[in-house]
Amino acid sequence: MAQQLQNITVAAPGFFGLNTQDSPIGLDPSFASIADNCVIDKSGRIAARRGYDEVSTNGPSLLGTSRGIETVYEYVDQSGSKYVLSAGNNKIFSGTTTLTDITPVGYTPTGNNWKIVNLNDHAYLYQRGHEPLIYTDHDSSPTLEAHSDHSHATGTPPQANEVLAAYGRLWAADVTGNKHTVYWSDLLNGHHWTGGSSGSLDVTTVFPTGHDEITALAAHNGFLIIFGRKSILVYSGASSPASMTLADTVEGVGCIARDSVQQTGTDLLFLSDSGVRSFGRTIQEKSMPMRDISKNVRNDLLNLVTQQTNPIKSLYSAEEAFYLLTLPDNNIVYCFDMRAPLQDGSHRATTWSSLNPLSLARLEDGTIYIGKNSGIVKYIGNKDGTSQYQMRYFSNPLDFGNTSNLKFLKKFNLTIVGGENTATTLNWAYDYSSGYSKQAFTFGESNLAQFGISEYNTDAEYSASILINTPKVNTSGSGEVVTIGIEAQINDATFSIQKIDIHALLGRLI
Amino acid sequence: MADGLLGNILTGGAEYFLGKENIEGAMEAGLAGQQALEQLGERVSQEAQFKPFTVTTGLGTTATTPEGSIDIGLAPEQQALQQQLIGQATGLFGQVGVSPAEAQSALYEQMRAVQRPEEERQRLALEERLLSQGRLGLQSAAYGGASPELLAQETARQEAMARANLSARQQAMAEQQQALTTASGLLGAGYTPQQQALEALRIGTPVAQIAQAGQLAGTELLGKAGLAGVESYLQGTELANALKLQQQEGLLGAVMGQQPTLQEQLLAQYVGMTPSQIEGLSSGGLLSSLGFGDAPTPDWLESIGDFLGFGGSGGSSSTGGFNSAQSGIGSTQIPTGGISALLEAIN
Repeated sequence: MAQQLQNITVAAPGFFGLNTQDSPIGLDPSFASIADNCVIDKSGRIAARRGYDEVSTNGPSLLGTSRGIETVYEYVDQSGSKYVLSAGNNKIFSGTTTLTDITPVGYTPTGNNWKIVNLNDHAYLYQRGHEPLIYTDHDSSPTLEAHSDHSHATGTPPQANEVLAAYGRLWAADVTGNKHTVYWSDLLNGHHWTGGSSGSLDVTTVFPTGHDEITALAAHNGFLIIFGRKSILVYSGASSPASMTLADTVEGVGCIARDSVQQTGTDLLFLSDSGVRSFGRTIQEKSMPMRDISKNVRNDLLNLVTQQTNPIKSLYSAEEAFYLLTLPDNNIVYCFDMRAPLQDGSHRATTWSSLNPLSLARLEDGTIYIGKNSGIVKYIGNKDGTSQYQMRYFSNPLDFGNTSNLKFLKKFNLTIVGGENTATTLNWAYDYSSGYSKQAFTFGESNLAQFGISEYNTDAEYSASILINTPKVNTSGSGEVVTIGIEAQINDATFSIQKIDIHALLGRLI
Repeated sequence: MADGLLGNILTGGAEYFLGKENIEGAMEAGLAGQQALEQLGERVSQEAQFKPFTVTTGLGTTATTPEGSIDIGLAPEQQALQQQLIGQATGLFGQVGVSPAEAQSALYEQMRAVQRPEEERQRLALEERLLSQGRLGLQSAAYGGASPELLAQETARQEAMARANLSARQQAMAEQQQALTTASGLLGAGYTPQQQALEALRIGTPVAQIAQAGQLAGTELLGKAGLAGVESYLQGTELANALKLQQQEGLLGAVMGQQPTLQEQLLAQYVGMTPSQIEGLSSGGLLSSLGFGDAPTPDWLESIGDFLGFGGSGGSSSTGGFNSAQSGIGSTQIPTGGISALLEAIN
């Protein structure tokens, strides 16, 4: 007697993001083993990331054979004027469509790892071993000049690798030969490094580990956070630095990448040598809770982090609700969904490949600019420039709740949101094998209703505003556990996996 | 009276002789008086010389010297005390002589040495507090390149140093003043034994003056008595000379005759006597009685003349007068060596 097919539904597959850390057996099917070029969309589905459009048009001619744009920053002055500053090929540029070399005459940068901050109508550019640069248009002519050439500058600023604009002044640290002193400028004068209320703090004796090196600074929850590589110092009262005091210390966790620090408003994200961590914001409590954001991809992430020789960059986008962490030497970006943490406090993680960002910047309007080898691109659309890119989702091995029965997959019913003209391949394999069986299919073209667009004397378009594809794929084979995957060539269309219904026949006990 | 030239010659010679004798006698008497007065002066001077005296008390002995100086000899205890006090005074004067800056510096170091341990404790406490607050390495330009706490502490330290410096200055000056006062007191006290010895001398001096007053009175009396003796001697000598002259004149008159005196002549004229009568008043002398005149002097008379000392040999000696030899007549003789005897008596 034939057995009845069982319907196993994997709703919102990959909704929990990647989990390469726990044993696949028994894992929630919402975890994915591969989620490349994916994000968690606003509906909680795993979806293809956006692509990019070129912004700059003269990038290659300016960048030559260099790595590309390694720093991007949008400076907004007090009048609201916006200037995009970028750096690459040991030059500093302004502009978006057309990059203009604004490197001060006689100033020769030897690197492009600038940290740019905005304070009181000035943009300050800091990089280790370089005299700080000041960009301002308060003379009605935007000018980038060395600190010593700035008419209002006083003192000698530290040639620091890290700079922070917070509490009305600049804070700088990580100077060659001195990685244990935090310097701050005069109040509201980022170019005054002597007199006034400028000063410094040597934290050599404060690090709980006895020795550490300052890698980053941050302002969070009313505190000044001083990141060491293996420890964190939290100072209160930084609005009056001469009287600020140590409020808390964190031992064993630090920040290993200056540009990994991002402020989300409720969390302070940073990359430590144990993964991406966050400081939670607290009002009443003294200590700020710390969470392990990358808990589910920890080993993979750390394995890649250790391979990095180029600066790691990051970005937090409130609009996209993700935190991006670039690993440029491996052309991988880890994307952490910041909408809500999982039960264990971690966040949904996906990866991006083929984007290869060298720098990231979120503009005031939420636009994401990406520095690439070709120039500045904008995170938008569903193509990487003019190229398709592949989205990959693979589940962890699924046993459907019966670990000891054979499973005979009969049919997949997929529910894909979007995916117009998207070549898609369904993959399945049994028993932890990577030898996937594949079934390719392409979603058709669809004319979506276009509200507000006059199409007189044309064929009226009455279809739904959202394209829903529900391909059905017959499958074969059997095994104890099944791994399924979807690979889609994103071709200028969104692609979200809403649901995967699997019709399987449960076999005998093994 | 012998008439004629011889008589006049004899008379003139005798008178000359007598005058000369008187002059010589007066001269001898004057010389003798001078010598006697000189010897008297010398003796009175010797007798009136200062006789040194000594005052001895329990603090020592103070002696005067013939030269008029004073020799103070303190008792060993007093001398030791004096040396001790003066030594202490010298030490204190040494402090007074020290530069105020040096004294201030020394005092300042003493004061700071007292303050430093507490400052060090406070510094360590602040250091620990700053360390616990993570502020040990804080430097702010607004606070002179330090933290507010360090600036406050350093300010307090500097104020303490300034106060100590000022106090040290004041104290140094006060101590120098005190040292000066004490040294002066000690110096005065050191001289006290000497002053007491001098005071004893002052007290003893009237006693010595009592003895010296008697001596001086005796000396004065000696002087007066000696002077009176000399005067008496001179008067006696004068009287003796006068008597001798008178005696010799009488003797001369008896030998040579005598002319009436002017008074007798005036009185004779007054009573109406003629000049021949007045001349007749002249008495003839022994020579006249012996026939002196134109006849030669008999031998016996010459021998008498020789005996009388009218000198001369040969024919002339018969007409010689008295010589200066002793006549051997009565007490009118001036004994040879009488002045010496007088001076011895004075002495």
